Amino acid sequence: MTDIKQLLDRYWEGETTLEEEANIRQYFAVGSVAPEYDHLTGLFVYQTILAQQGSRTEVPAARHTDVEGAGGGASIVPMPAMRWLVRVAAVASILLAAVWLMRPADQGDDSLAQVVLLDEEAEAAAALDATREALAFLSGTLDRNTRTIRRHVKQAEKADIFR
Amino acid sequence: MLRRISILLLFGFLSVATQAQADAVDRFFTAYEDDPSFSVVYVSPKMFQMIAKVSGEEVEDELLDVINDLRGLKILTTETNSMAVYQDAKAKLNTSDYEVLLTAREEGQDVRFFTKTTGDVVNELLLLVGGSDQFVLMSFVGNLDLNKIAKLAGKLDIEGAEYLDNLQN
Repeated sequence: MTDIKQLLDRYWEGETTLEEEANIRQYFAVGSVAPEYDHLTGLFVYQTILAQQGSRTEVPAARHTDVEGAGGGASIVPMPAMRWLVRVAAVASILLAAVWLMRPADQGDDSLAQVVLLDEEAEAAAALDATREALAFLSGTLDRNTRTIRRHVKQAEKADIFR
Repeated sequence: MLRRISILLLFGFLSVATQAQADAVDRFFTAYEDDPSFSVVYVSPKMFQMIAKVSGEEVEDELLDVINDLRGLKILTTETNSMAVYQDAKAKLNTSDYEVLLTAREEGQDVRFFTKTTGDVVNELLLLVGGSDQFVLMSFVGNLDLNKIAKLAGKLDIEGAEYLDNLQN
C-alpha cells in the first residue's frame, strides 16, 4: 500500500521510471486495488492496453507482405505512410538542390542581368530628364533670341537709312 | 537641377555622328569634366537608344521626335569664373569649323549658336552662353531639325530647372 502510494506520488510528480510506471499499471491490472485508488483503475488499465498495443511489433495482417521462398517465410513490414512521405520529401529536396546547383551558368546570371537592366532604365530616365532640360533651355534660348533679332530687324527697317 | 545631378554616362559606343564633336569640343569638355565646380552631362548614343525604349506616355511627342534624332549630348556648366571660362571656350573651340547660326547679347550674357552641316542636314548644334553668373556649353549631335527644336519652346514643362530659369530671366 505504502509502495503504491509512493509510486503514485512520484508518478504525479513525473519522477517515475518506465519500470516503475509498469509496476503501477501491473498493480491496477491485477485487480486488488485499494478503495482510495479505485477511481484510477480505468486510467491505468487503459494505459496498460495502450502499452500493449504500442509494444507489439506486428502490424495488422492485411499490411503484411509475405515473401515466400526467398527468405523462408520472412515478412516485410510496410513502412508507415509518414515515413514514406518524409523520405520522398528528402529525396525531392536533394534533387531540387542538385538541379539548382547544376543549372547552367547563364541562367544563374538572370537576376544579375535584371538588376543591370533596372540600373540602365534608371540611367535612361535620368538621361531623359537631362535631355529634356537641355532641349528646353536650347529651344527657349533659340526662340527668345530669334524674336529679339526679328524685333531689332523690324526697328532697323523703320530707320531712315533703309527707306 | 543639373548642377546637383551631375551625370557622366559613358558607354563607349561612338557612332560616326559623334565623331563630329570629337575634336575641339571634346578636348574642352575633357579639360573641365573633372573640375568639381562644373556640372557635366554626357548622354551617349547608346543611352539615347535606351531613352527611346523606356520613355512612356509621359514623354511629349514633340520631345520624343527630337530625341529620336539625337545621337549625342554634352553639357558643361559652371557658375564659378563663368566669364573667364566663356572666354577660354571662345579661344579654344575652333569655331571656324562651324557656321554661326545666331549671336546675341542680352542682359550681360553672350549667346552664340553654331552649327555643323552636311548639305541641308544639321549634324551638330553648339550653344555657348557666357555671362557674369553662368557659363553653359551644350553640344547636340545627330540629325537635327531646327524647326522641331524651336517648336519645343514653351511646350516642355520643366520643373526644378533652377539654373535654366535663372539664365532665362
